[in-house]
Amino acid sequence: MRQTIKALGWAIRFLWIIVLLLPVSVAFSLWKLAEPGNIGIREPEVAFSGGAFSLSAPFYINNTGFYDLSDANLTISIGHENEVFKTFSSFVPHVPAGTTWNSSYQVSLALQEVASSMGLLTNDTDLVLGMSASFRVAYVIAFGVSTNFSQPWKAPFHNLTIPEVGYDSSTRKISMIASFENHANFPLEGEFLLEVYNNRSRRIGYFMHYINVASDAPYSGSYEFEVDEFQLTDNEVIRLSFDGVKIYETEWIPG
Amino acid sequence: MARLDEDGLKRTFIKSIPRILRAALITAIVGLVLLVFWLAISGIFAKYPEYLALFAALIGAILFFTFSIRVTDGTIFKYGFIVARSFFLVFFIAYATNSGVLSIVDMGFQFTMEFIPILGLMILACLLGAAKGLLEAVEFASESPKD
Repeated sequence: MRQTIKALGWAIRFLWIIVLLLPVSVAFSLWKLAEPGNIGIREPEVAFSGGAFSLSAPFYINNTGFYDLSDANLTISIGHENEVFKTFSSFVPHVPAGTTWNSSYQVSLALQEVASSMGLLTNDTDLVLGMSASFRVAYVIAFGVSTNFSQPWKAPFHNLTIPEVGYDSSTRKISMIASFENHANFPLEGEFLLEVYNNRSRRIGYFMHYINVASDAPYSGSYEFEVDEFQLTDNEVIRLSFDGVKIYETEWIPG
Repeated sequence: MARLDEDGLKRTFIKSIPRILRAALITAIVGLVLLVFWLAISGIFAKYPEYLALFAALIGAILFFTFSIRVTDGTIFKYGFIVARSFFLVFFIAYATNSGVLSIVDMGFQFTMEFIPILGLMILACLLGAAKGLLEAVEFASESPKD
């Protein structure tokens, strides 16, 4: 009995030593990891092509601590008016102690996704960005940080309007002016398509135009194209698309 | 008979005075150490009064068990208090650490720390402490002279 009690006493002491030393050594390990130059983001590459905005941010983790890092995760969510419409996530499964991990954070956002989110293409607004990061040290202690902040969104087709639509029955041509301001940080380069649909959803005329609008520049275009007068109905729909993505739709009643 | 009982109680009390004084002294020393620790961390945790309240409850329990264990030294009750202290620590640690997941919100950020494996080790150590207390109680009972 006495030997068992003694053995239990040593086991308890050993466990408490581990319980007290582990967090201290993990804190010291994190302190070493937090030294300048051990975690960093290299210059991100931003591009807009094929109707999608993409961002690639290379990053590295030089684990100079004593313990392995695992389950590192960085998640960014984009929301608008209490609705999250896109979530990006990057996962680093394992960075052994004394090694460097190189990876890249990829963000890709198609115009179609932005268009489906309540007027983000045509209105400047504030987006709610959620960010959360977590990682595990020595496989036993996990740390996480999360926050939400507001970020101004600059719409690529801000204030898109078609102030006037005219129809000349003698030439069977429809004329209109479309204008907007590209508030986005990237130039808009692609096919700008104007279509007219009758109330039976049949396309009765269209005009395709290649546009190139620099960042922070206004755009105004005047268009004139033929429509099928036999298909004209009481009220028509004018639809504007960019690179295959519907960005604006308005009703038109022929005078 | 009543006179004899009264005398016996008086003698027991007088014999216990040094033990009570020793227990009070040790409890005071432990209390002083914990007070210094409290003063050191209260500045850091001033923004989180709920953690300070939990720490105050832990200090109160530690002082209570320290005094109780010391004052009942040489009796079987000592081991009862040791086992009770171990079980109290199991429940207190699990409750105070939110089952091993702590969160604080500061400057618009939510910081979270999850240490369930370490909490498991703490609980294991406490349960081993309870088992040790029980074995010591059995040993004490087996060694005590029978009436």
